[in-house]
Amino acid sequence: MKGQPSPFPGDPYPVFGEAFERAAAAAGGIVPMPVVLGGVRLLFEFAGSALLPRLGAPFEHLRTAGRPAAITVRAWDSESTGIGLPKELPTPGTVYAQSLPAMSEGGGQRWTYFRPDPGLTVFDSRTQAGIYWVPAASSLTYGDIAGGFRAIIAWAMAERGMVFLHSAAVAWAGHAALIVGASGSGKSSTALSCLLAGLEYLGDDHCLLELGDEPRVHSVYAAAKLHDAQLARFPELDAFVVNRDRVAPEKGVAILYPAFRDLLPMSRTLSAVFVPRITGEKRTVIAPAGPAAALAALAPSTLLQMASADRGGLAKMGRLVRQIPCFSLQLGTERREIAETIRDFLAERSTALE
Amino acid sequence: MPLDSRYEVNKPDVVDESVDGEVLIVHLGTGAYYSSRGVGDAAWQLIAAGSTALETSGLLQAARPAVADFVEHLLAEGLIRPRTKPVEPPPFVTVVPGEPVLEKYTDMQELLLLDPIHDVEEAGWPKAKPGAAAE
Repeated sequence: MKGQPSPFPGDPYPVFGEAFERAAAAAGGIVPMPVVLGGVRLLFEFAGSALLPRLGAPFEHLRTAGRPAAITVRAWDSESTGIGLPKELPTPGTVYAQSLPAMSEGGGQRWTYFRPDPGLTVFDSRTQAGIYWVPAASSLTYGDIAGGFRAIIAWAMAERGMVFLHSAAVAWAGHAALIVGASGSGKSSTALSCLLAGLEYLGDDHCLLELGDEPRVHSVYAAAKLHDAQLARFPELDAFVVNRDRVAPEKGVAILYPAFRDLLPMSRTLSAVFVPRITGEKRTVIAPAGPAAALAALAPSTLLQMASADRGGLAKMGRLVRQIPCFSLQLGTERREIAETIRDFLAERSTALE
Repeated sequence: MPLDSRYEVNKPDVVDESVDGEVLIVHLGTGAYYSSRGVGDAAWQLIAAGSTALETSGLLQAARPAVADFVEHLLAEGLIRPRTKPVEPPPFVTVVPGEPVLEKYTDMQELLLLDPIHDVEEAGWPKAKPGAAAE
């Protein structure tokens, strides 16, 4: 929070960098993973390969060959490297929650502890460098796999005018729809129904919004979070679950790349915002909805879940729902028909706009 | 609450956006969010710009006690605070009949309250409370 002191006096950031380098040396070197996210080049650097299958895999569809990167994120775990967090650092006087990150006095650094505990995320705005540490790959929750580095991404992209949304997104014929709503509203099941019916998938829970004359949605994670009932409903995805060691009520995380590589675009033009509602009826219906309803479905969870990345995010989401038509997506019980209804709708939008 | 008191939005903890005659207000500190339609949206915009309850009720042709209650509610929820900034010219608002009503939603509060960081372990690093819920 602006105005609050850093939990650590001075500039401890280099100490984390030194710890990362020792961890990388102990684990056989740095494993680089350059990606392009929202048109921005990021370089993930892992100390050894232990975190790659869970933290790196959801970004595989965004991998690129190029360097240098605008943002660098260095990640390690203690279990595989034997290197913990520096102990000589002072005890934090105040502990900060995920949603309200600590900021250094000048506002140049953001800090947050996150689940699983203890864990640490740091982002230094001046150098555009992030640090991410967890005790072990196995301690990552499903939210940390399917939403890896989310605080750093949200903070860094907010500095570039983008909003890290709590939203699903699917596309057809070059046009995307956001599917917005609180957990349990049906957005994840809708996105997965679409993916398995051949529509493009840009995320089931998180994606990146870029405003402009033509707003765009950028994919962040090629992953899907599934609780047991969803795994039963979408058995096609069971083979791609990576956290089989999870304990209920942890969700399974299916990594969608490379199996669905042709349906994982990096970015699409936004043409609609859907607010889903489970009706229990057989048929799926799309009906016009007011922008205020769409904003109410999108904004609170985005603002409260995304580490307070950007207090201007609400204004940006307001601009989005004024700019893009909003609809109530009255979800029926037939999985295939949900996808077909959305596909036909987006095809019509495509024809109308081109 | 005096009817001639002036207030401002309790920033940075509180953010707001008016769309299509409805305002959405989010309190990032408590995790609660609010909406108000029609005359409530207009009243919020006027109060946020520094209009008093008295001025607001006059501009909106709304009952004075209803506006006073609305302002009281905003204060009680920590959405506004006594004004420190100069008063802004009242924004253009559409006058619609009715009484301002503030609706409160708390279903997202768990996103904040679930944060299980409470204790600090020996090495100086935070530790979850046993049994803390996962995301």
